Amino acid sequence: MNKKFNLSIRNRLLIQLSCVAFAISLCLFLITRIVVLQAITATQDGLLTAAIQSVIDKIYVVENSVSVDLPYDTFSLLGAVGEDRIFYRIDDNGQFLTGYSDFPMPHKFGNIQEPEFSNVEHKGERLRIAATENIVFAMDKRHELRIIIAQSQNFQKSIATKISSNLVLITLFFFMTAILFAFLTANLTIKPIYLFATDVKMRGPNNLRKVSSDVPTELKPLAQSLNEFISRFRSTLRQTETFIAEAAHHIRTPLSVVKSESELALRKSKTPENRERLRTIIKSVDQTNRSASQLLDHAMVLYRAERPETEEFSILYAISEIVTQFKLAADLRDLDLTFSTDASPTQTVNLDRTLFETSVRNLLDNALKYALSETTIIIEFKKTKHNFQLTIKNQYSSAPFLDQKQLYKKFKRGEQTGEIIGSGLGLSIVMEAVSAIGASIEIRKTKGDIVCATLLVPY
Amino acid sequence: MRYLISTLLIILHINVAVALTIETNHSYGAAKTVSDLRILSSTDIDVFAPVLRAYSALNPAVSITYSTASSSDIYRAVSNAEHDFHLIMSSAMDLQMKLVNDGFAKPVSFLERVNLPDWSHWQNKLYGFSLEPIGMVVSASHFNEGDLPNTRRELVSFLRANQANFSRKIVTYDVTSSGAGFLFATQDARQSNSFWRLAEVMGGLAPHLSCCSGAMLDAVNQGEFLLAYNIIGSYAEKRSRLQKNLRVIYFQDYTHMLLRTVFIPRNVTNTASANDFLTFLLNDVGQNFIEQETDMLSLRSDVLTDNPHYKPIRLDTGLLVYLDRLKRQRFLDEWSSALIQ
Ligand SMILES: Nc1ncnc2c1ncn2[C@@H]1O[C@H](COP(=O)(O)OP(=O)(O)OP(=O)(O)O)[C@@H](O)[C@H]1O
Ligand SMILES: [Mg+2]
Repeated sequence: MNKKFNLSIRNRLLIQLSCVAFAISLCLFLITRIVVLQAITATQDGLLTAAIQSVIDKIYVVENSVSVDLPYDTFSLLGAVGEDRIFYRIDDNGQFLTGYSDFPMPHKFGNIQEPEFSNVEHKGERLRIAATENIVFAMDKRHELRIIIAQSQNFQKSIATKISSNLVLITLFFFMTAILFAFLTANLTIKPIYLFATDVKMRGPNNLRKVSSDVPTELKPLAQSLNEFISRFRSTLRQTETFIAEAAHHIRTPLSVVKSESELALRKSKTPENRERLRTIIKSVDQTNRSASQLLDHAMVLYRAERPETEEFSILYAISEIVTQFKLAADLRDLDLTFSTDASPTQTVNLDRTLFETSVRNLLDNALKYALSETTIIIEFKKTKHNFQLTIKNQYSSAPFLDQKQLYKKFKRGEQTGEIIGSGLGLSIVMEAVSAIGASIEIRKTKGDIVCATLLVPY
Repeated sequence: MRYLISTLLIILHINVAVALTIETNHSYGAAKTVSDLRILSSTDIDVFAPVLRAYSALNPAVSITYSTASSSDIYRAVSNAEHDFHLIMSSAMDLQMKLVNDGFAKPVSFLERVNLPDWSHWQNKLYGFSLEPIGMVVSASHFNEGDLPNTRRELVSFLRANQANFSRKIVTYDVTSSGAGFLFATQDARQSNSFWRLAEVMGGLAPHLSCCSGAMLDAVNQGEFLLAYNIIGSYAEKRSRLQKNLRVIYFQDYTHMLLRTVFIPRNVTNTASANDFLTFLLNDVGQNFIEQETDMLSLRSDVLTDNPHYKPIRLDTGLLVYLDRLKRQRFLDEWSSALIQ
């Protein structure tokens, strides 16, 4: 029962259409067969009628009695075609005249034009009988002649089987064609549903655009309610994002006040305990600040991923601008920053610039934050066969590196981040942004404890 | 060749229950009290013996009895279903046809594929196995070579021109007693109107009516009669090799060909031996043997294709017509009034 319920619409259609095709084929076969058999019987009846007429033609009167001169060719013909057996009998006024005396006379007789036909089983053979009554006068004496000719049905049978076997082939062909059409019909019918389903399935988790309303009428209610659901969901999401953005803003403003007040206090403070305490406060503020700003970014990325605003820009130019911005931070941390490229600034991409820059910035931020001090961060930008490729390499300690699953999880940070400020949202922001612009990201620790992040952006 | 022939000439062997007059009995193959294959036939042993010997040589373990009887006796025995033969052979095609039509035959199942012309069998029951042209035999010494008539029309004019010589010198079958004679005469009547003219002319010459071809041929050979009409070719040609005065003529207007036919009677329970024999008789081996080693013609004989005026009598239900009580009576009346004047 349950299984049947799970049967695909296509298969259901196929089964139903096949059943209909089978029923129609069967009817076709039976009806045609009946018509053919009738035609064959009519042919035999025609032959028997002609035979009886030619026998009647050969009835003659001698003196006061009646005699028959059976026509050779008629009998020859009757038995020649299908090698059919023949029986005949002629009675004169109820008295046996000639033929097969043991052949039972039927009850009804027709006239010359229309003999009475019937079927009978005689000596183990099914026979078709034509029976006619004919009145002859001999010397004023009335002779009521009853003539029957019976023929076996070999010829009819052989034709019937021949035609039937042809008919089986024709019906089979018809059935096969019907099945083929059923197959096509099922596929055609199911196509819009399939397209609709794939349309819904193929969209990314953040794609909250309305589904196309260009669907068959039967699917319209479904599409409509889906779209209503999506738009309700979208507005809820938007509200949440706005709320987060506002919340972050509301937190950051007072925080910056707390931070500047604390720094002022630190400068004035004399006792080492106070200074230590104030430093802890400042660090927590930084941490909170970072979290708030990453949350804001995350919300922004999610929002833009839903409806990206594409623009055309020089990708090399965008990257080098960001690298320049990070120069100062690198100097502060005693890090070298090298940037090499073989691409030209005229090469452009067409995608959401903010999402792209957010990703690059987060990757560079990580490289700077986690690189061992006094090492070099190598940034390379290349144009490969299908993509632009940005690699950022930084030296890392021998501490274990997060595995691929953990890396992109929200709020998940490495074990030995210690003093380093961070929220654990950076890479999840990168992931969202990268998949929204159709790019891909890979980060792994390679030989020599070098962490290498590779961003591939299709042309 | 290992074969055993025991010829028992039984002058009058009357089986009380069957009232079937067996003329001769011949046995072939292994001697057994009850034969494996019993054939009842109207064909003279002289004509058919080579076939039986050939079959027996291939199947020495099978004991065969070949009994001959007249075609009308055969018909009566089979239609009363009081006999114990495995095969019924007869030259009376019409009687054979009637027996099969009336349901006295069993289907034959050949042991291998046989390749037969369509006209040579009826259903899968009645099978022709040899062809016999029907001709006229003359006493050669009484004819000049150029005088021999080639058609019935020529024969009629010839007889009219030589009435004095041929009075009481013509012999033919008595159709009232001979089944074969009746068949030949009715087929003649059916084929052409000139038959009745010929019958009238013959009737005017006070012909002798005979029951049997053997007697007729002997008489013609001795010059007692000069002309025998409607004689089975194989008998005549076989005799003409020994009886040098016999000369067989096949008419060119038409020469009917008789089909000797055979069937398995309905009351046979074990048809194995009959089917085996028929397979031999009708496959290429048997047919080639008949063509080359006997005086009969095979179904595929070249004679047929070489002589378009040779017409096999058609094996179909038309043959029933002259057996009809009224039709037969009418024919016999006409025949008698033409020939017995
Ligand atoms: N370039 C890198 N070198 C070494 N470790 C890295 C690097 N990038 C990321 N990691 C590890 O992956 C973790 C997750 O990084 P992610 O950017 O998501 O968080 P975060 O940097 O700690 O916080 P945020 O970026 O939000 O300030 C980091 O805590 C760090 O342990
Ligand atoms: Mg980070």
